Amino acid sequence: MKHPILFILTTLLFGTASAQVRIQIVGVNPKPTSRLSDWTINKNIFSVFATDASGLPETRVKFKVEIKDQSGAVIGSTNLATSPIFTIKSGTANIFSAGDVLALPAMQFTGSAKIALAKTGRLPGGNYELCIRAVNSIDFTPVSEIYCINFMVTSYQLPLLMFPANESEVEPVAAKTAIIFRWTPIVPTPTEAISYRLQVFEVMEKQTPLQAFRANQPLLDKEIKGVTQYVWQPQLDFSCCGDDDAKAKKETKQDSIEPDTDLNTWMKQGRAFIWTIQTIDAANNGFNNGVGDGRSEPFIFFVRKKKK
Amino acid sequence: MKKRNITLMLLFLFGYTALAQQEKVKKFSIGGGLGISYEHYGLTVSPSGGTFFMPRKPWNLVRFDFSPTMTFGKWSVPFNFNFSPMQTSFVTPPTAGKQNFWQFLTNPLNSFGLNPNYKWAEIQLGTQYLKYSELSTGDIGVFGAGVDLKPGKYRLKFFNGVSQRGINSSLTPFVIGAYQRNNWMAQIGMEREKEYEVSFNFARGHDKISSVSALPIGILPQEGFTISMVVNKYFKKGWYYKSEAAQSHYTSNLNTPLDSVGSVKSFKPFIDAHTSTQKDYAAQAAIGKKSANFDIGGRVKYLGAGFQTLGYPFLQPDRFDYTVDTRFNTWKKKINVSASVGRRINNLSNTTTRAKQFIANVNWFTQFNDRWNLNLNYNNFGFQSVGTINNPYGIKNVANDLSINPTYTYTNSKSTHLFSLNYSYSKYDELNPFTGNKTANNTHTVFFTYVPVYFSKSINPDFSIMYFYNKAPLISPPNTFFTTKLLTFSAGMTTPVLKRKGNIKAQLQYTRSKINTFTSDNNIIVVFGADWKLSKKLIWQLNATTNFFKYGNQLAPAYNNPRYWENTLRTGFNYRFK
Repeated sequence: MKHPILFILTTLLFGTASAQVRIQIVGVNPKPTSRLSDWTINKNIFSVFATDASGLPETRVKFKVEIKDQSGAVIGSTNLATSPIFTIKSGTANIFSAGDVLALPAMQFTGSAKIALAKTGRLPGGNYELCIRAVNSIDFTPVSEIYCINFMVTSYQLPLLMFPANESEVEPVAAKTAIIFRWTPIVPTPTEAISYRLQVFEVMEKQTPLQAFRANQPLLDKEIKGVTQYVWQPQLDFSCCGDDDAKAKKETKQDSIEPDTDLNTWMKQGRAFIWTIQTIDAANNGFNNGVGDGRSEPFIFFVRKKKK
Repeated sequence: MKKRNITLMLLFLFGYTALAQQEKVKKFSIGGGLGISYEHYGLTVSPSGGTFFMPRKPWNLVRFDFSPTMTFGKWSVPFNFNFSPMQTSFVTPPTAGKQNFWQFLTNPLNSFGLNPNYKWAEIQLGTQYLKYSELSTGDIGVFGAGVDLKPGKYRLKFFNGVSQRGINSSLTPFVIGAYQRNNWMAQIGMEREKEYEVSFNFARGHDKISSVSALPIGILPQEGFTISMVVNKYFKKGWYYKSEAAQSHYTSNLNTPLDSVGSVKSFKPFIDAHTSTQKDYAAQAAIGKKSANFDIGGRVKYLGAGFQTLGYPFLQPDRFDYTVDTRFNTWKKKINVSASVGRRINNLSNTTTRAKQFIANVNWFTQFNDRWNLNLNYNNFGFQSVGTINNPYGIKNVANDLSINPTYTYTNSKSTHLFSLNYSYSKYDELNPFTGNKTANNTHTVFFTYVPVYFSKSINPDFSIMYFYNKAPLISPPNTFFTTKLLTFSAGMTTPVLKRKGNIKAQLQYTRSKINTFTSDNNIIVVFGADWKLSKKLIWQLNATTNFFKYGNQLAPAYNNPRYWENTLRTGFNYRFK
């Protein structure tokens, strides 16, 4: 060390500066949502508790945030030139939310995290370390110790519907007795208890399937736990949907006895249904996957004689 | 709002003036029809207050249908007014109290569509379900106004309106609420039918934050803009090529601050980037050949993890799939075969939880002679995800379904008798993600149908019997199963009445079901239906269904003799102008 006096002075200066503000991260959610923008509105990600130890009435600071991936590489950090200024008042509890501290518009990401965030708004699944330090709002010199927490994010894929397949046909005779619904589980398996809510909506005449989905009361609304299958006994009138070959032959020998109405045209086509699975979390809400309410992409099926 | 009103007024004026001019010189005619239907639903649960069966339809539902097509010379004005004063929505929220007129018009249950058209020009007013392309917009109903112009080979479409009504949230009664979602969509392109299509599609959706005074609970205001390009080409001898590439900007929370330095830039003037804005891509392509006796085609589809279009709000992104399918007729068209095989990779963005699906299907139909035919169907569905810390063995589900369906038809000069037998076997194997053990879930289904038809008699009966057996393993305790056995008998008949001006139908169905070792459930369904041609143009219809279900002893908590009656009565009048 060529300049021991300078070193001592610097150490003293930063030692004093570090003591100006004490920060602590509290209420840490070890498995926050992967969608970073939700951190700004979600109060249960973490909070920063700051106290002023400078002896001054208040200290104006910025928060330098760094997010590191499991290899220790910094994937995102605060651009202090554009980040907001916070006032730490003496003699009072200063609490800031994750959204305040993170200040997303001032965060700069790099590498694959930058690409993933641009495309999906989410951090890729994995383990992370988040470190925060208060710095002077003018020259960005540190005024607190670094405080770090670990967290893990998981990207989930909602269940995919399997049977009845999209736009498939179910034989009316079979449907009178039972229709089997199957779907894939949510991936990966969450640690919290989840259940599946199976909903089946009938598409009425002159409705589109999605209109029925958005506007009708479900014929079946069943919460299912632990399995990804349900045997539904519809107990519905499917006599409309036979349109069997023998009767068709008769119609060729006789005049059609059925009035030609839109309703009959529809009935000859059978009855149409739209179904989905809503994944339900432990708090009995739709599983928050960042988008939507936990409902999977719905499928349509028809109860009618299969075309051969 | 002002802009929208002016657009609407101009469209109405344009339509009215043009209609008036045509009316002077051309004849007026009206086609289509109108109708009204009423459905009553009744449910009696015994013992009273039992929660083992809940009502599954609205108690009363009235629907009006007004769908005439008026023709003034070369002008055609189809109406599609199909509406109900009730609210039955479940996935989208109903209003806390009575809906106001605007909410009534934009209720997804209702359609108020009017599409006056003249030669290549169509004005679109009211509720429209418009499909512009597979990746831009096409799934949702929008209430508003627009045009669809097809001068020669050129295509120009525009529509502006509301796809979701604004609803204030409420705690009592609990209503989650919703922002009003405004959408506009546009298409510009060129098309020659059966030759080619090139078009650019634009679709934008925007939640209007000021549309509600009580903010929706847990719902964030969103915005999205999607642009896509479609190129389709049809060649000689049935060959075709179709493709679409799309880019979406999607903001998951409009309350987040604008972001001018982030990696997602604004796409002005269509969308401003917020800190919650994401941008991603999607593409699909298909190539194949269609002919009378032979089809073959291949499709690929990629949806990026962040691809989100408000024109298809339930589209599941983050996947890549490809499919090859074929169909052919042979043996003098007595054999028809259709088959497809495909693979899908889900969660592309995250290699640690990437999942793969395999889907294969083949259907083989043979008409041996006038009497015998046989249909064989085989489906395979596989799903596999890699293991993680929580589920070290990953998830693996494989379903194999085989169905055999011979049909024999005997016909003489007086009658036809159809006998149809169907046997299906479904094997569904699952890997327990925690133990690695494989479990098998097997289903057997057999049904037999007999339909005699006597040419000289007016009554047409039909009979069927079905047996269903499912054995599904339980997660715990190990080596225990959940078995379901169902046996159904069904008989029905239809006959013309009132000098063939009407028809009546009746059906009786009995099902006995047994779950594990519990005592059996019993179910009887009686259906009666009638329709009567009151005049050449007016038809009355009636359908009444009674469903009685008596449980065995499987309910927990136990009830004393649990059962329910469910009654549905539906009636309506349909009038056709021609």
